[in-house]
Amino acid sequence: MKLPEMKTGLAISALCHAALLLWGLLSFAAKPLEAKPNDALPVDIISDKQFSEITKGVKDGAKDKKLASLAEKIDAAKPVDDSRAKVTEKKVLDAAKAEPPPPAEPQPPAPTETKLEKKEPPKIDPIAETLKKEEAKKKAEEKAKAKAVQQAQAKPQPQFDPNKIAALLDKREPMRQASAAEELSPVPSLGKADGKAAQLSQSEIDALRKRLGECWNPPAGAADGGQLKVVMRVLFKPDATVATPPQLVAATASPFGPAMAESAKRAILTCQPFTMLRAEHYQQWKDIEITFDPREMFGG
Amino acid sequence: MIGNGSNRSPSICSPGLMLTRRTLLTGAVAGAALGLQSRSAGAVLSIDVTQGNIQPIPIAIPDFVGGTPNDGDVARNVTQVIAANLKRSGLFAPIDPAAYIEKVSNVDALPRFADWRTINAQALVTGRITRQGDGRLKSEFRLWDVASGEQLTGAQYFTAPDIWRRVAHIISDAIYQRLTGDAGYFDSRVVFVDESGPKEHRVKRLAIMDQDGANVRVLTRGSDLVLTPRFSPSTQEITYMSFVNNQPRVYLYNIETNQREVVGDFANMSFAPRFAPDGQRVIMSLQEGSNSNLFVLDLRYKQKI
Repeated sequence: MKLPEMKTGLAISALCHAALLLWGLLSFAAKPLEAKPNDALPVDIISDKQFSEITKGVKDGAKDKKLASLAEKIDAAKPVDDSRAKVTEKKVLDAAKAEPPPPAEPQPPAPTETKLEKKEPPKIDPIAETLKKEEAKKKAEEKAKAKAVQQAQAKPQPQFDPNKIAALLDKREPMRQASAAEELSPVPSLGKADGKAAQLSQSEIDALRKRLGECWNPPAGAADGGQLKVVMRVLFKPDATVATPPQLVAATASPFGPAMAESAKRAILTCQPFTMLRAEHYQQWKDIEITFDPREMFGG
Repeated sequence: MIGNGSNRSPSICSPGLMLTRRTLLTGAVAGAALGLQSRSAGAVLSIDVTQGNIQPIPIAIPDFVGGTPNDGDVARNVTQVIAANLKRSGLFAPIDPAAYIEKVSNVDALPRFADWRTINAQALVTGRITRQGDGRLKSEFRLWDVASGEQLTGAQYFTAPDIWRRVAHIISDAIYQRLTGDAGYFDSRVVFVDESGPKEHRVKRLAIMDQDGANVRVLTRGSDLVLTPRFSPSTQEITYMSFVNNQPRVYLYNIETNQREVVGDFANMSFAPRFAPDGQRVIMSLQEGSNSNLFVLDLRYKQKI
């Protein structure tokens, strides 16, 4: 039974409630979470052997020649020479090639003449000379290209018939083979924009961590093992053995702290020499601060 | 005070202090130089090792050397007790003596750590047992860290010759504590109820032994049933319940004197005794009518609290 006095109050209450709900609905709208742009890294699981093959390199190889062509697999024989497709094109190229040499010949005498004439301002001359040479080269290339295009266009163009697409399909064997060379090219990676080539690679650090993890024997009987943390400072010699005994930098205060610190020290000393650290990165790994944190092992 | 017409440099305070601008400047420069020197370069590379390998510590325990030719047996026994203790704890893995390369003959000389590293020992224990002229037994040991070539701990004990087992336990405790950080428990005893006989005539006796099962000593005759023995934390006493004359009673047994006494001569049943942590009181159940309640008894006054 609604009393007359209650009507206004009821109306106000309803209005206020509605306003509150509306505000809540609008203000607590879901916002899309922002995703931080990460540096993309292609990840591939490979064995140690494959890794060392990838990064092996050749000591006596010519420096830039190997990197020029992408090598995706190691080849057993020479690359297939698909001469069938190139028979007609070769003739065109030969014709084109024959022409640029004659126009290129009169060019060399011209720059030399200019050189003899203007000896007094020597600085400008070499640049002008090279510019002229480049221009001559470009002209010759353009001429050859034009010739080739003309030749190609001279052939009768086949009428395009959409109904005969099947006939137009190339029925030849797939000609593209994985480009092969004597060794695998290094896998290209989208590295960080500020990466430097001489830095200690992530794989070396991980290998070091893994090796230390193998040798590290934390005291199992420690009651608060999950909270114990030890930081050790180690100085290395160039042959990756320990130069001075590892020093304790910090440790959690606990009755088991000394035992944990000693287990860390023992791990570092038993694991040496750390052969995975490369000599060319010595400046990076000669002084390392290692934190031994067994939290993950104890389920923390 | 700054004087008129004086050709001294202005001072900040009284002339006696002579805190001139020049001295301040030199002091500041010296302080800066000191500050620059004392700062050390931080480590370039920081790595985290979060996964380890929980394994028993491989430890090498070559036979203790006998100080005199007669002590060879005792020395060997002590070594065996130590090795067995450490192995049983689960945190140590004593290496088979057949694999040892170096033969330790002199405890005071540095061991050849390269030999011990070859067999992957992380710790090495060497020791010597010598019977003294006055009949005492001198036991000494050293614990070595093989990787760094340092001695971690060492001690020597003078004891009666017949408690060589206890000495072995004490040495095991010291090794355990040094390497794991936890207090050792090898020098301790177990009190238990020894049952024997057929089901109808079960004989239960109170017995005590070392934690490794040696030196079993039976404390009661077995004519009465005994149950729930407990050690006192402060004295060499055991409290237990026994059915003497078919009446369950709580007794106190002194291990050293082998004396037994009743804890509170109650007409009712009393059972399940426990010592308080300070060893001065015993808590037990006392039957009253059809009810049983807990009571605390002060041993000093033998009265219910």
